Amino acid sequence: MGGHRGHDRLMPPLPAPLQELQEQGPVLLIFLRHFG
Amino acid sequence: MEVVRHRHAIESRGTQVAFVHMSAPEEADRWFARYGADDVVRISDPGRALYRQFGLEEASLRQLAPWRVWWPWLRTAVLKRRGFGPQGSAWKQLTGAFVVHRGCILAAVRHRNAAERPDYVALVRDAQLENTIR
Repeated sequence: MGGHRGHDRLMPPLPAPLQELQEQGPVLLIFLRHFG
Repeated sequence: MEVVRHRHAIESRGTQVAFVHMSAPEEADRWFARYGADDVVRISDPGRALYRQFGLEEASLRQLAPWRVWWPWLRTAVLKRRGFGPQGSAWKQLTGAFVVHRGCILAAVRHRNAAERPDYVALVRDAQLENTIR
């Protein structure tokens, strides 16, 4: 896998739906660039 | 969408999948429905505040040079007549993936090149290992 990998500890505040989801269990949060 | 193909493998490990994107919610709804993933949690972030908060930067010209970077964008923008306009410099935005849980980032990958295709299953596995070790 490429890119810069790391293990951060501080998570920025998330919008409510994501906040609730990550309280229930681990979430793989994927940032997209474009659809297509 | 590659991650949709691996969604079952990821969720079978007890990890949910969610997305952050820069498009309007309506456009995202159509796109996720097309891939049969209309139930997935997704956040519209056209101002890219979350991208910045997670340390995802804009690509340099060198990072944009490979054709694998600009061809998908060009195909979407020109051939499908989408991608120009309100997103501004969004096409330069670098992406990434994070495993988050209860306020902590368990694993992170920030792409240095917009054409990178991460191994999402490996990222989730690493996060589980990291969480076990701690």
